[in-house]
Amino acid sequence: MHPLRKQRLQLVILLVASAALVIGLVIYMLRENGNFFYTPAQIISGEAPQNTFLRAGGMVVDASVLRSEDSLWVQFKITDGVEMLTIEHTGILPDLFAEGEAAIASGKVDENLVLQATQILAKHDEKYTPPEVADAMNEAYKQKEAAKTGSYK
Amino acid sequence: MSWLSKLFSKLFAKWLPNESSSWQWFYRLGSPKWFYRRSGQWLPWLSLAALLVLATGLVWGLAFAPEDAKQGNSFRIIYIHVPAAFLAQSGYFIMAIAGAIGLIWKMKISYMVMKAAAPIGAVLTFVALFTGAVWGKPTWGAYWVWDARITSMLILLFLYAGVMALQYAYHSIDAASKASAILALVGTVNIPIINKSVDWWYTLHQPATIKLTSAPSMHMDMFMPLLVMIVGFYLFYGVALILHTRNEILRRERKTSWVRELVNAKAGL
Amino acid sequence: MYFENFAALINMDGHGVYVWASVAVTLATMLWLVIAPLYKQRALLNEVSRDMQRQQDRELAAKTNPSAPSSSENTEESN
Repeated sequence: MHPLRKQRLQLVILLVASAALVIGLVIYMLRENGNFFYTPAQIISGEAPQNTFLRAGGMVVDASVLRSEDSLWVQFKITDGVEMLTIEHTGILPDLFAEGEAAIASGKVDENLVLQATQILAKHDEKYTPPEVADAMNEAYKQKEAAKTGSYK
Repeated sequence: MSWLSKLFSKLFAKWLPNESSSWQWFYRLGSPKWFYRRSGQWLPWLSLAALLVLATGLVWGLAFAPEDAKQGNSFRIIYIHVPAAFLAQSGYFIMAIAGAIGLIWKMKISYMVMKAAAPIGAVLTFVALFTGAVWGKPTWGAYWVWDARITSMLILLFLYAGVMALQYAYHSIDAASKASAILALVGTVNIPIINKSVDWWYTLHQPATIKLTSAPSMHMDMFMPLLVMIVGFYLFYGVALILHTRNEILRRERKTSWVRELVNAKAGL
Repeated sequence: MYFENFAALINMDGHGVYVWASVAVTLATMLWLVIAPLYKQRALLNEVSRDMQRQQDRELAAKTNPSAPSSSENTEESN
């Protein structure tokens, strides 16, 4: 390569590398703030900021959803596999909200360690399956579970 | 031993790298006149291919692919959201690489490609953000959230806008091109951030469905039309980039004799 | 087709408004991305042809009437 072009190429590489380094450092410092939500374990242990607006994310615990009969009030628990956090909310829940699915609640944690949420978002995964396939998979899973419990007897 | 090397070079002269032959295509590609002529021949075929592939993918994805077990039919937005987001990022690389070639080799055409790529990339980024917002409402329960993926995608839109703005901020074409190329190159660090944001941080946005390293986490009946749409978007991008680059060539070379001959030939028809 | 009829395809179990709005906006912006440069190209080619016509007129005027004041504009040619 022509020496002048080589010099320009080196300059361009230097430019990109230094920009990457600077931005990389900024990201490293902002690591925590880059997170959209805290896990229940972070909130229970006090790692998350207290008495302030925050978001908590986790899987909605099976059979934990309690609904009021005459209002839109709802209570449920979310878990990250380590701790559980109780959430209370009054309002409409997104269509994808369900037990066993991920949800993100935003609001303030009160003195009883209950998150009084002003908004509930449903988080979905990157897997897409047609309904029949999903049914077949659930069926197979149930049979497997049944076989497992059967073998304990 | 020198006779041996002489014999070798004589025998293999055809295949040995040689400045004039191996780089000729590169420099010819750099000639605006050559590019204008050639791209004019490619355009009808490329447009036809883009139209056919996009129509196939769209009908397949919207009307024939099965719905998602959890999301229902709103998941079909993926067939435009993911290809648009793909091309918004690939297009940024194309713009930045064109800028780098311009800075290093001072090739005229590469700066024109860079300038042409900016508005196309901006539109595709807007499409990705818009369809994402519309998809977010029925699935997440919100049009917009400030999570890392969505915010970094918004930064991509601003980077494209910045490159476009710099083109008009200078009187001299050369200064404008250089400034735009530098911004485009510095901005490339945003691309891996967009890509990795869903892995580095807790985000509302789900991780990538299509990864180079593993099988797609999607049923084949749903994945095939998505693949067709991605190919279609690449073809469309090619058409749009050529069209915008040709205009930039005309704008910058309007005083040259070959453009005048071209206009004369058209008038004579 | 996955849907039973055309109406079901449009409605998409209530999600149709989201899906079709996305499709409409996407197609409209993509179409604009290829239509706009075609119009621009025509304008640019017309501009070149006007430039050439003007230059031809000036050359003709200079030939028939060498003392015409329009010769001062001829500097544009050298650009």
